[in-house]
Amino acid sequence: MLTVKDLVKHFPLKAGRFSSSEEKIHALNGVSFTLGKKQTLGIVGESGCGKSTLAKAILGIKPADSGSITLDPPDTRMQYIFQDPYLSLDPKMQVKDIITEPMTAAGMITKKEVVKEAQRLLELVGLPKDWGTKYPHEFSGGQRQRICIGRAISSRPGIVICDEPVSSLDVSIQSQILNLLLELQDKLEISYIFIAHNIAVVLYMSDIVSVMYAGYIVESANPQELYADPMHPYTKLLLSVVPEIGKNKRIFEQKITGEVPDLIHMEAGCPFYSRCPVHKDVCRTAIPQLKPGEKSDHSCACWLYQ
Amino acid sequence: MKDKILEVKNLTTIFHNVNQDVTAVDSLSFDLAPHEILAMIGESGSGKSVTNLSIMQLIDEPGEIASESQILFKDGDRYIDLNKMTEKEMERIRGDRISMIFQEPSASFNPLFRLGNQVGESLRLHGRSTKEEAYQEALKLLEQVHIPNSTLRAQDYPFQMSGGMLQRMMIAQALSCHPDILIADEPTTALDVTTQAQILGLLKEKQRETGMSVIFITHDLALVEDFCNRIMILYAGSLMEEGKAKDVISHPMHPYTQDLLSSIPKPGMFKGVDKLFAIPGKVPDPGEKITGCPYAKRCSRCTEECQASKPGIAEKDGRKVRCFHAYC
Repeated sequence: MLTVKDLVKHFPLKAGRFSSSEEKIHALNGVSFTLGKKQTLGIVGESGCGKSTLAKAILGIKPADSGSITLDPPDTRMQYIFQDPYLSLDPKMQVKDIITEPMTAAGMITKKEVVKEAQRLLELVGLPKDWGTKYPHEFSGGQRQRICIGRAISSRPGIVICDEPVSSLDVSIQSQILNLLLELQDKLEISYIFIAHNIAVVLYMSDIVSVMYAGYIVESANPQELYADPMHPYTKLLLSVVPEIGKNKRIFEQKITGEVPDLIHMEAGCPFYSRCPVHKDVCRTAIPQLKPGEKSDHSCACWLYQ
Repeated sequence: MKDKILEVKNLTTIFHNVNQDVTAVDSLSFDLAPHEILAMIGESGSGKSVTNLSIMQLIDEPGEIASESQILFKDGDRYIDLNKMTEKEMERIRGDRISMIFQEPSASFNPLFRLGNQVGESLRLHGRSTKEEAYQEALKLLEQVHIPNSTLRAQDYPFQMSGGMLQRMMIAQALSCHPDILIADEPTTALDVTTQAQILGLLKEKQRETGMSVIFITHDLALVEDFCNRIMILYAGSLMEEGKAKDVISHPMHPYTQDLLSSIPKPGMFKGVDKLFAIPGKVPDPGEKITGCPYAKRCSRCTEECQASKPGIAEKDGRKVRCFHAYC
């Protein structure tokens, strides 16, 4: 349905109008993946790993410098669900107009049909159907995120990109929203690109999970495989620090060296080199490519396996 | 009471808004032992932050701490009631005997001053050292929180630091006067998971070294199980459950705690295989009139009794629970 190849995005750093600085932030450094119909691709990584840049590049909000994005069929619609439902709803618009805006904008419905369509969408996302005349401030965070989801699915998109859709919500609301997304996927046959920093959430939501680090995909596998048998040292690190109830993991005793990589001054070798507990000489000088391991659907970019 | 560093009795904090009064904290009582890490768990509107701002006497108009609330703090061999202190007296306690760290480290430093000066500021304000001494002390503190090249980094400004490094700086500042109590309000929520583990490690290390008590505020139950000694679960301004961390997690008694635990996605849950439990409904709005149990509307064990009157707190073997139908 969606094929992304060698996506690169660098943001130039300008200190001032007359600055001749040629420094840039290497946000995406060649990202490739495919997404099938009714499938969810989960993308997990820490801040600055390029996961949101990737989403924006795919949608063309911040077009990539190079690489290709191919949709099949080419007229597939894409929509976006943002992290913060307080910033992504116009406070001066009634909910019925917000939730149907993609349809009116695309000329799918006339003004007369707004009320009826809004009722259908509100019901679909689990809100009372007569709430269309309310304004966003009358809703709680979880309800607002439901409105955002309703708006995203209104124009019958083939692909919805969810960028941290639950991380600003209360704990007791998060699972409602996750289950709603799964339910709608089943009903409407949508494909998701699901972006989050919480690996537990990504594992639960996805059919394939890609782990990103410093603008690269460093490992990609189905969630069961990734959880049971992680290959890349960074994936292992991520799994070792995610809090887990009842496991007595003592994450505060984990030895973690280094910090997130400097995306401006990228080193020649593997971006994880300085933090990697098992690095070799070759890691400092050359970047490992994402290659399938023993199992064809489990690939990893690490010199340990190449 | 003798061995407690802090004892809060019937803390009630009300915000007198234009339209209505909002009771943010509703007669909350708890205590804190020396060397103890106490977790306060709650969602938005649970009153966890307001409780701690009340302890620090940082509630401004239109907020008000009820005059019958007592916040007893051990000062040497006697107890003083922080709720009866004047602003001048509180200034001596804040940042010195009790200090705080916050969620967003970049919003907690002044962007215009060098970090070394800001980290040593408490020492200067509390008359413990001169400006020059404070700066030297700050350098030592930065080393103690494991900031590499601390002498150089002390001359940096906040925007030059990563979130994790700034949070270390804030911890250094909070610990500068050797406080008896550190209040940590969601100190790792804005950080990445790997940085979160590092900061938790640092907090644990410093707590062991100094023997201070910590009130650790968070919304993340998974985080506190092995990090804290005791857990308090708050909901809509009321205490729901309290007990030893391990006990509460392994045998939750309140339906809310139970529901929260089963609604958190755990690694190893997969699409199509596992179904995540979702608590219906939403957190009550601030100021919503609640006659019965605040959790009644969302609770699977709710009966008529729960809607009619608010259950009291039952206490047994160091466990507290506010529920008519608690799991035992």
